[in-house]
Amino acid sequence: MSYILPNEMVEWDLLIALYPFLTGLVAGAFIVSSLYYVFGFERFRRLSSLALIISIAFMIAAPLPLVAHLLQPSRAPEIFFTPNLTSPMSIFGYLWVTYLAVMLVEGYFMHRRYIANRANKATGLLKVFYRFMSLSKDTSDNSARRDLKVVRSLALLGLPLAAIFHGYVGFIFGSLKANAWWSTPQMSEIFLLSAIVSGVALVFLSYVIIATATKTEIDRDLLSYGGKVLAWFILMDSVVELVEVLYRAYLQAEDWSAISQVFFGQLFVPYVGLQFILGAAAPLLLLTSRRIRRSSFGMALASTLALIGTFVMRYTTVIGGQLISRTGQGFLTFTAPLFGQGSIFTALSTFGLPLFIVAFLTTVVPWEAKDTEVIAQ
Amino acid sequence: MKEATVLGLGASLAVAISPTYVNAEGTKQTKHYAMLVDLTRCLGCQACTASCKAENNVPFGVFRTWVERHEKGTFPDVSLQFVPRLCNHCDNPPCVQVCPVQATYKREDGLVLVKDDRCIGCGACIKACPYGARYFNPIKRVADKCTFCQPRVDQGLEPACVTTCVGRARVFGDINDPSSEISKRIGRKPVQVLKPALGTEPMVFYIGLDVVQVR
Repeated sequence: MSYILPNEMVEWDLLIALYPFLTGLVAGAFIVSSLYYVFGFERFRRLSSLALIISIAFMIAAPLPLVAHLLQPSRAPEIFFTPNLTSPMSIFGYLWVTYLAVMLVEGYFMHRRYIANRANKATGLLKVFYRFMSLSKDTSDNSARRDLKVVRSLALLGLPLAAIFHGYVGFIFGSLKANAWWSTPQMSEIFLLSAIVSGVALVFLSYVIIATATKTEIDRDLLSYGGKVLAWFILMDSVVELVEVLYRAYLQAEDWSAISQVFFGQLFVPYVGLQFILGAAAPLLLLTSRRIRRSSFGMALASTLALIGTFVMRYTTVIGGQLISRTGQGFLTFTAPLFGQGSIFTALSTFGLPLFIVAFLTTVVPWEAKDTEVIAQ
Repeated sequence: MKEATVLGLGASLAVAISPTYVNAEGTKQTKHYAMLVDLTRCLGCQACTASCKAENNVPFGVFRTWVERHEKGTFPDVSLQFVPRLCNHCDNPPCVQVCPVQATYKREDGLVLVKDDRCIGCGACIKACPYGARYFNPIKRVADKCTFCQPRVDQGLEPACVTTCVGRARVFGDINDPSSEISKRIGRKPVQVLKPALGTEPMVFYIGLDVVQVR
């Protein structure tokens, strides 16, 4: 017998599953960018600009699924004017503005010398545009060193912001004691680790695609190194997620029966098949091979699988958690509509926008850091 | 005479609206509204559900209150138990804690309410409520729930579900007032609340909940 309360519905739909996926990509890509500027991971130098561009593009799109999901989207600014400070959700507006500003300023100083150079060389309207953008004509090495200092400071400041920006999303879910699947203190760590997985995967997938499209030579050592980093994060993320499930299974608390019926029943294919086997075990297995790590197709495939795994994790967390009734003795069902609010089409369009922004930004500023003329380093 | 009646009505209305009043001992006291549901008196007639729908214009498919029917035992030794459910107007309400824009709030007299003109419709309060008492109102397009019939309470009346309950299973009143019916009945018999382990401190009390498997 299924015992469901009459008001229970899956109110948080596909768009809410997409939201942590987008914020995860923001945080993950930003961390990749900071690996060079803050921690001196020399091998990531070449991708530091691309990673930041991806981070900015997805940051611009991050609020869209949230606002599109609201029943009163015109009241969204209330979050700035009357924030309830006991609500983790209330910090979104301020955090988004602060973090986006940090990323934009960092991106600007990263490319300031390039823009100033273009301002000096360009003619006509382009010259006016680049002059306006560069703010100064100084292209000296001293100015580049100053830029680098600013970039490093902002990359450092951005790291805790990245952790908070995505960690608080995990906190929103983890702190809801009404939900058997969500309410775990581990939720923030799980979200953060999977964010890094998706960020690293997207940066390398974009690298392979853009380099192939622009006929740029691909750095095989960089690919192989990135593959190792990706594999380590997939491993850490999977371990944390599996340990969480193992604990719940072993503790056999009153909610376990309902949880196991949803995640190993209704959601078996997405949860076990897509999230753990196709989205984690398969890329992990692929990345153990040095040949695959050095191949563009191999890295693109492993990255795509890791991205699918991360998205499915967001889906099974957000939707899966709502399929268990508060009674623990009944289950809801969910099918995403093709069109309309919260539909597959809306989610795909929302995800497509940052990809367009990445395509645009990589054509107007250098995405690959080769020398200091191009990027502060 | 007429004037005195009007003045008297005005005074009682003021007492009803104001959360604080002066009690018989002459000390200032704050009202704290709560509800007691005596399951031994509930017939499962759903009159409360119907009156709530009518009183509050609750849309089709969602409920501010409902009566659950629980079967117990095996044939032929069986019984039916009815459990009216509604917003628990918790003293530690998770819905108020998570609302990002202060649209949902707890009034001084204990009522947990939603400001319709401020709610952004994010659904955080709905997800935070362990009792499934909240829902998206498809007409107003905001989060909605039982208000203990706040407009009626502010006029000194009882909630619609209480007045229509044929078995007097529902008792509403001020638990800070020892002379109120709810205080007296809570004092006389052991009472339970739903999901006490969650620390929400519900203000809907039950008599006889201990023999029903309610989740």
